[in-house]
Amino acid sequence: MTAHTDAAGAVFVIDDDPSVRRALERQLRTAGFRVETFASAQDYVARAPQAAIACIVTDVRMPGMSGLDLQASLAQAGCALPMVFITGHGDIPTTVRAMKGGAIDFLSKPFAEREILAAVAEALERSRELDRAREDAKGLRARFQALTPREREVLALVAAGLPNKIIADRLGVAEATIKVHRGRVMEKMGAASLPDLVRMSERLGLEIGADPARR
Amino acid sequence: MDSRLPSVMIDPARAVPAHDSASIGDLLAFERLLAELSAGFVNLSAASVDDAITDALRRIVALLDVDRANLIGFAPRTGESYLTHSWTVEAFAQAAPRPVSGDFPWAMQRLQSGRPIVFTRLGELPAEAATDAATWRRVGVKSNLTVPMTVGGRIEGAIALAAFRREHHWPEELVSRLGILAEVFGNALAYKRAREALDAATSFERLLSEMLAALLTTDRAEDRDRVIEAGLRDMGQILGADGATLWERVEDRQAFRKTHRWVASSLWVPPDWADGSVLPWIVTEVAGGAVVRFSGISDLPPEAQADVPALRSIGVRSMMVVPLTVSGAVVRALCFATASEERDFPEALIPRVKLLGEVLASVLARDESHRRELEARAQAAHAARVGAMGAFAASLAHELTQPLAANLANAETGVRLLAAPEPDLDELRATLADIVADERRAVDLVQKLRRFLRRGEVERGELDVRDVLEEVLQLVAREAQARSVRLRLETAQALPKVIGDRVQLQQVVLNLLSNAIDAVAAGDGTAREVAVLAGRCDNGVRVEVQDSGVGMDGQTLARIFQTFFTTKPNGMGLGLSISRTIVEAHGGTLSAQSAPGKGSTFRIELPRSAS
Repeated sequence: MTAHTDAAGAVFVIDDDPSVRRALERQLRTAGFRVETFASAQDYVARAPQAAIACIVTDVRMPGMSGLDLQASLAQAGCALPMVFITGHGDIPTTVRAMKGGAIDFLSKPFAEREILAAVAEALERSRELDRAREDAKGLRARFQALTPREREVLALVAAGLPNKIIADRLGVAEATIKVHRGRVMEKMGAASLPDLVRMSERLGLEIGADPARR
Repeated sequence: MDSRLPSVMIDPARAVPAHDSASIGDLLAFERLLAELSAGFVNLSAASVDDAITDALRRIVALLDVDRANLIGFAPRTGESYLTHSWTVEAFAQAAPRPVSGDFPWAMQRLQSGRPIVFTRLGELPAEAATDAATWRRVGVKSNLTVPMTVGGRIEGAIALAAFRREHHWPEELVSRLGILAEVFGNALAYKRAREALDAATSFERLLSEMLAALLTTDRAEDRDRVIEAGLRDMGQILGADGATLWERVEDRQAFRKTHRWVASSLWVPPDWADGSVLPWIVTEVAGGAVVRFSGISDLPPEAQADVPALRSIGVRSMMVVPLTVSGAVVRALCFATASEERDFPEALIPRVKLLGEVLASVLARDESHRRELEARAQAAHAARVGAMGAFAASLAHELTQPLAANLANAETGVRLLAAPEPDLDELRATLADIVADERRAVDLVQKLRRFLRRGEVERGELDVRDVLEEVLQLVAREAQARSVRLRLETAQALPKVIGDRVQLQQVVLNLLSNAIDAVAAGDGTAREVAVLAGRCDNGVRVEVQDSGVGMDGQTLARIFQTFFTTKPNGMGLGLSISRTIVEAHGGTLSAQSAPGKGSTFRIELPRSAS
């Protein structure tokens, strides 16, 4: 049994049945997870719990908003978390829908402890990956923001694969000046190499081949 | 004028002195009459044909100074003669002994071979005409001229002139001219027949639309019966029948039975049954989809002779039976019959009679299907109850899942907590308390189910075990087939009845059968069969469900009737436990035998009903 620290992430348990809620809370908590319980999907939406790394364990069939509705609504709002579904009567169409919506696992009640713990661990791992990606993107954007307008133009043209001479022509400056800009862009963006810089520009969604000078 | 009187050729007369030969003047006058009549018949309506012919006969009698003129028809198949039109001078108009066609063998033969009969005095007749001569003498005919009537090259009758008062000479020209006149009459009569057939067809079409309208606006079965009887009356009248009967086919034997009837008068009522044992030919033909039609018993083919005695005793003389087909099967028939006279039911009308009849049959079939629908609805109500139990079981299963899931989670948590170097006893205590509470909750739910099974919804009645089993087998037949499992039902003859709730017992058998199918489907055995055997046992009926599936070891077998014990991945462990509750509530027992790899046998014993 892996020990989990609080920093390992939060598990949001949603089930309308108090017994199941209590038992799951205890099971996950004593296994080392930080657990918050909700009696309904609406309750979850209303409280909108925050955690950098988190996952949801939810019942499928509940009065009001179902687990699948919640999955769809969170995806739409752009605050999707990895989800583990638990159900009293799993049917294939529901399972398929949940899995297509990105569910980590779909467990039929009653389920064994190793199943739920494995599913939750996987869901948190997914959350961690997403968080890392989010952090990376955030840093990248900050670094890009630190560039001067001319450096951004140079970045776009370099990423498009143009040689310094052409970039200089386009921007109407000396080739030597472009070399200086280019060195500063690499340094500010923290790029180790030209391909690294190209990947960054792709992640930033810069228009490759665009002509910033003519904008 | 009644055209259906028995054959009469010549009526009686008194002897009168011989008349001089017809003069040239007579012939010229006849020629004029012929031209006038020929012209007059051309534009005649069908309704006035009879009157025109009678009037023409009157004028011929007057012109030629004879005493009687007869128009005679020959029946198409039998060749028997019948009087169609006649005119007699007033002095001889009285009724007289009626000769029949058998009284004129020589004359009939001669006319049908196209030759005229001409004699001024009886003595001119040849020796072979002795019978005919005797008849003429008896009725008082002195002279006679009879000329065949040809229509479209076929001899269809004759025109006969007779003198009673005195002998009459018939010039040769008169013989040929009379032949032409006969042809004019024949054509007029043929036209009239065609016209009447057309009228009848039109009447049928009108009748069809009227009946359709009437049937479409009547919903009540008794109203529909009235419409059908009115339709039979109209059809019967158009066809000139004495009775019109709608028959329905009797399924389990070769027979038809009356459902609706119209009779022209109470003097003759057709029988209610047409049974293959007395009317083998007719019933076989009609059941096979063939129309039976005859205008006289003597028209019937040799193979129909077995039917003749019955037809004679019923008093039928002419008949037309049209089979009615609904969805490809002869389900009914329309029968028209006469008893008072022979009638030729026109073949041309058969399609219309059939159409009308089939409309009736369809309407009645709709009634029948309505009745069947009511029965089906009753069965559906029964099925709904089975379904309600299913739905109840499903919702109960869902409710039970919750405490079971909670208990499993708590139990495993408890095990893990105990494994810690310093177990958190408070947490353990709370965990165990939750387990106890949830266990209680699960037990409550099961008791609720048991109460449901014992409640007033239970419908107890005397049951035929075989029926109960057959219905369940039907329910699982498709699933078994889909999983390549063969189902076999064997029941002993005359099983005693049991008292019980049909639905509940079916649930038990259904449960045992699904388990058996699962067991067979899970195994790789070659004998993929589930057998349901029913027979007697000491105090009632025993039902065994045997499978050739995977079987169970002794340890499993010992626990299968326990609540929540299951070997199936998605099983609830309720089926056999509830089944046993049901069977015991019926005063019976449910037991099992099994060996791994050998399959299992579940045995229900139910006490027989006291009656």
